[in-house]
Amino acid sequence: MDTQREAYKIEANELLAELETSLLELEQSPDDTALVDRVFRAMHTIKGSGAMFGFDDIAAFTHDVETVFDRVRDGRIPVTTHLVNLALLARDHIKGLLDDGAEAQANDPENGAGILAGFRALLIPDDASMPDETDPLSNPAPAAPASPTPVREQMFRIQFTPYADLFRNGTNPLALIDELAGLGPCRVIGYTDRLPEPALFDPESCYLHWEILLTTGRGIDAIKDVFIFAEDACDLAIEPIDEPETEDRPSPRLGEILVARGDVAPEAVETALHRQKRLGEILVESRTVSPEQVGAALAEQAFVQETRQRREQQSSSGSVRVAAEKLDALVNLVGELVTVQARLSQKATADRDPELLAITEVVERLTAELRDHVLSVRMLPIETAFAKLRRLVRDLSGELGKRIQLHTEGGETELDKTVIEQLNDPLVHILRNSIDHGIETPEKRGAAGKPEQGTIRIHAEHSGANVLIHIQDDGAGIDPQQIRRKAIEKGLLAPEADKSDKELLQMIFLPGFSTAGAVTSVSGRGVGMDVVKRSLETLRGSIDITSRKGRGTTITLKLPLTLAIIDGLLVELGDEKFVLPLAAIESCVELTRKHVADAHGRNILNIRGQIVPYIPLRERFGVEGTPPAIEQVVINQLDGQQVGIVVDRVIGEHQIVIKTMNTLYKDVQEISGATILGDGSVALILDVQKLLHELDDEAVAA
Amino acid sequence: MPIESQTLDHGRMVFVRGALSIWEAADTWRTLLPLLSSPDPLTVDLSEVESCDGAGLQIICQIVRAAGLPDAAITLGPPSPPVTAALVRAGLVLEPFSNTTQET
Repeated sequence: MDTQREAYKIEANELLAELETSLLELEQSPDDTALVDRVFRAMHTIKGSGAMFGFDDIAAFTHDVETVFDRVRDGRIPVTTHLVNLALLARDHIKGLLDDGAEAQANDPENGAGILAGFRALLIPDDASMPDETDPLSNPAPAAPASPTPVREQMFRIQFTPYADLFRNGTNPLALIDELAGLGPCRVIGYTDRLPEPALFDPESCYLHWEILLTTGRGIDAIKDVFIFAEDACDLAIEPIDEPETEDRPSPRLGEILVARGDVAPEAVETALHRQKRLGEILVESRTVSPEQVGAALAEQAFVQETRQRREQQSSSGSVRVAAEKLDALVNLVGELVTVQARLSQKATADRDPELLAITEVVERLTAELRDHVLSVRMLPIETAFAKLRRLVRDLSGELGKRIQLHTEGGETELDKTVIEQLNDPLVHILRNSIDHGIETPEKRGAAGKPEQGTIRIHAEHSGANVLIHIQDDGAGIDPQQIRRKAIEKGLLAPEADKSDKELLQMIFLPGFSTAGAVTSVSGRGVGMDVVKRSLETLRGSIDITSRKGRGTTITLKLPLTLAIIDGLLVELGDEKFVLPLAAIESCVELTRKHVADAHGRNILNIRGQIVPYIPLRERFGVEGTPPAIEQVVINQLDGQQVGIVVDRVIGEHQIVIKTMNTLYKDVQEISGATILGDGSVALILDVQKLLHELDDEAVAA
Repeated sequence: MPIESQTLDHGRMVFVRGALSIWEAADTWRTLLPLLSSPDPLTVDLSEVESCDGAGLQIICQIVRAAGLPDAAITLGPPSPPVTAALVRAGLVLEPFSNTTQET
């Protein structure tokens, strides 16, 4: 049961995420009935499954919320911002109950009661005059009946024939049908054949009757529970049809259904079958059954076929839910495999055994394929991170009296699950800053000739082995001179220091730096952007900022696609080996003594007419000894700029399992990690981006 | 007043407004019956019905049935969303309205 409760929690969390998105969309498109249906269905499933797995608090709370959305569905309650606010609060409350269980409810029972009072207030205008029988709140049926264990899904035929005095007993048959619909997919067939001539018609007597075909996993008792208060006012027949174990048989034929329903004797079907006409026509012509009865049987046949199709689709569905921990373990194992494969390759090369070399090549190819497949399984669309931001923008802008719209693009861009999980906090920090300090109030925007509604755009795109995320706002921008004043005030910058606007903007990433005039609950405490920068660096990513005063700010995050395994180029420097990420490498060229002499002491190289700067790594890392007469320059393409890395020797391509460095090395800027090679030695992974930044800094200083 | 009848040049016009439920059924039917039985042209407007239960649906079924008689001069206006929703929930397929049975 614990496993089932856990499964419910996972499903409910997904439904809550979907609910939040639907509510935010509904606020923008209040007339969209499909969205209302989505909200209703999410609430309905959370309630129904909640009751089934013992989350009675969630089921009880959600029942009332669902009732209100049922009325919204009927067009009796309009979609307003107030309603969306309440529904979002309800969503948060359900999430709290789900995460913390009974403890949260005990801690904060008033919160839930307050939200429900808000929902009930929406129902008051309808309830003021008289009890409305169509309303589940005034005609409460128990929330989804709690069943200790889920029952196997089964199809039922329910023949519901109310007595004439059903209405007078205060029962609304539509409410009962609605409750049945809550138990699972159903088809309702209403019959009007008992309605008398107008002169004999008593409008307070019930003449309608129904046949309902229902597929449910709740069992026959749950169906009986629906009719518990109406059993003395109707004829009720509930029969299971199409048992799952009989599904390998063909769908029941019309004659079989009519016989099973008691509408016709088996002999009559046999006789009819001897004729050549369609069975339904024959039986109607012979007045054995009415056209309505044939119609109902055909509907049942179609329902059975549809349900089977649905089950088949579900069972043959290509997706499987796998726990994240299992995926992590799989990636770790692939990492180990890659390392062992590297050892095997090295041994095969050393032994020069052709047979072993051939096998090694196959193992290498298969390992690379396995690695790519395993890593692709862990990839998630970045939309999962964006979805959470919509709520943040909505709530914060409301709190601060600002009008802000959020546009997201490239939500389908995929990133490793771990990267997405760790990206959430930096994105929230950046967005909070944009909302609080970037976008101005409607009045200020109006005065500045801008639209009153501010815009924040988040755009994700692939760039080589990285993903770029741009967060752009059309707010007030950042004034570099204000940063300068603050930096001097805080002792972070000497008053006489000469800094470009770009350099001044980079200072917002310094610990404790904030240009905010006031500390608010939202931002401005001087912790934020430095934390963001550190978080991104932990992810082997980087952050950049551009801003124009009065026009807005753009922050660009650069993140690796994956954190686990990459393709790298193994190079040698003296006795040490290093790895350069292959994704950014364009080519390798030789560097001779003549090239060096021709450059007159400058670290530049002419490659096909292009002047390319390079970093002599031996010099940079202080490696002793004499370099070879011909060195190798590995040309990298970064942010549209070419830069060479000079090494002694290029060994070749390798799959690299990235191991994080001990915190002792956190200040070593040029190294982003390490890897274990086939012979057991360690190679450091170079952060070419950082090396390039240092080159830039040195050029500025020069 | 949930039901209002007007005499127009080309016949009678009946507006059913607000709730159409067991509470209003008797009064509504009392007003409707003579009009449905009359040979004069009649238009029934259900576009302002705000809620509808089983009893309300029966009255709508009677109107539809009367409109379907060979010599009837009864016209039905488009139903309101609550009426449409109630018909769908009840699985009633009435010829003048393009509804289908319910699938949830």
